[in-house]
Amino acid sequence: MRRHLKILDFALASLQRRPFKNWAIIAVYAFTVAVVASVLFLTQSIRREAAQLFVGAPELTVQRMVGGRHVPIDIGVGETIAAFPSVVGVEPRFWGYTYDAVTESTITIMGAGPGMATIDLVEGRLPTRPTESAIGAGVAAMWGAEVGGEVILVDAATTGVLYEVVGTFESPSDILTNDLVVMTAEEAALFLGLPEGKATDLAVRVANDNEIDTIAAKVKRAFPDSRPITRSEVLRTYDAVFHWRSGMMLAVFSGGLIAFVILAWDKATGLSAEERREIGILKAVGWDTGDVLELKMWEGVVISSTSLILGLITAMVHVFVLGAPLLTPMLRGWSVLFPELHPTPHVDPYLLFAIGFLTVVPYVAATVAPSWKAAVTDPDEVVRG
Amino acid sequence: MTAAAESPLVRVEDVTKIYHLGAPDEVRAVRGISMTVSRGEVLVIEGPSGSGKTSLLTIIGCMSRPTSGQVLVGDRRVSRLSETALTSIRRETFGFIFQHLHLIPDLTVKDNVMLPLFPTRMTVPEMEDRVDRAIRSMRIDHRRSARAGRISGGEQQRTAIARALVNEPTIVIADEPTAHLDSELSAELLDILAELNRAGTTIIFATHDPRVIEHPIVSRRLVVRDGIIVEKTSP
Repeated sequence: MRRHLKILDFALASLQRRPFKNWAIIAVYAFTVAVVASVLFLTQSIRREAAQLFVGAPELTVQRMVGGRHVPIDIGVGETIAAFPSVVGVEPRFWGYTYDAVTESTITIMGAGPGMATIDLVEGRLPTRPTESAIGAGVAAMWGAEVGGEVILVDAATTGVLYEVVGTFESPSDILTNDLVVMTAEEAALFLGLPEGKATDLAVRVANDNEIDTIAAKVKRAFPDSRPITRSEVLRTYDAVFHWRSGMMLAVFSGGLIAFVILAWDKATGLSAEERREIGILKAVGWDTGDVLELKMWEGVVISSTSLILGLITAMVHVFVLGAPLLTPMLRGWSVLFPELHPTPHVDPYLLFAIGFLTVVPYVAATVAPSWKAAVTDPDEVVRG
Repeated sequence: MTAAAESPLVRVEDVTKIYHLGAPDEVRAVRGISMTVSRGEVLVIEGPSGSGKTSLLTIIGCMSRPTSGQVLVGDRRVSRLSETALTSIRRETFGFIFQHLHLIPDLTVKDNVMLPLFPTRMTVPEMEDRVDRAIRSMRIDHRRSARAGRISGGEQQRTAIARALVNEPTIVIADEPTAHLDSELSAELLDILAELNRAGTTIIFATHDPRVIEHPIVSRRLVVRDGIIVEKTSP
């Protein structure tokens, strides 16, 4: 052990001899890791937020489609669906959007009811009267509104309506809370211009998860103009969208990755005459091939680990502290819907391991492999100059 | 001059060394040489360039293996040892002073001297102690933190000798040590090696420099030509 630590110590001293060259490699290497890790962290974070969003979501959502458009659905349809075996409840949902020209943001309006389970009130309560509203943390911050204050929203008839703020809330997912304003169900229907007896969609609760697809098929048979959407379908769609986006991003950056690999390979394979001479000197003064390769391995490990750590820290700061300003426009195409969204810090250990394995191991291998040829040379070649 | 002891430190038996064996540019550098190196002696292997003296020196010093024949260091046959075992014997028994010194210019004097000790099981304080002694004995303490590439030629020479001595070798091997030195530095080097020899260290030179060959510390000369010993003399 002591011997290995001494060789590591020598590797560190050896690297310090060429600070500019080694820090230049670390800078390029760390940047590459930071780009890849930023894409993966952001994608994973958004997918995770999306998954959080659906924790309290209904097992089945039923919409009505006319001419390929989503239109309000009859609340009475819910009574038929509620009679299906395994269905434990059907509730109409009233939701839609309004645009706030002052902050240039799209706000989601929702009637209090299903889905509220995932919302944690920070202060106050949910609205009980038509003139009241509860607002999400992002909206509150954007408007500078608080409980007891008032907000003005533009309804479906383009009329400004004043609401008293009676509560603020948050949820595990910023996606849900950031742009959301909650009203009573009746007021939401009125605000959004929904006709009497109509809802935006129906939230269907199913007791047995295995029955969800069956119920969806029954709904479709009973109401051919309906579109039943299962929770897992929505999750799969989110997953696919962000997998696709991150794939596109990585494809765009793959040119940079390849350039780095070429640089690393060139650096590693192109042992300079000076490096070959040094290896010869080490052999001549009593180092064996294994010692020399261990030295080269430590050099590679120090460079790649330093780069990996710097790259990961940069990516975390970029994504979780700064909100990924360099990637958001490309990766989060629908971000315009949100006033502002900060990805929730969460890093999968498996992802960290994968990034580490895919960067450190190839670099160390590329460093050690070409040194092998120089290291197996008889030291007498050094004596001969 | 120290008298040679009875048992040889190194025994070379009918050794040949062929480079590029079987290739069109095959070179027979050493052809069936037998010789011994005794404890405490100062042996000079002399001969013109290309005579095979450096090849013989590297075989004696366990830096390369003979193509045929036997080499014994003490009572160990080293010709067929693994690289690790051979390196270990080389590190424990021999100290090398190279013609071109072969210091690493970016490393400090101290780190250059310490190089042979890194792959050993020695503790860091033990290493520091060894290095301190070697550096002090060469009177280069004041340059210990200087980079080897930035010190004078004489100081570089002393650094190379300190590195050769740091593992406290039984035998110091010097290949053309005065080839690139002026008279003053050559005399200084030979004085240092004479002092080492008086302390009991065996020294082997490969050289064709008369200043070394005719130095009073030399106890035996072997003249090598075309890979064979053509003359043996004891002054």
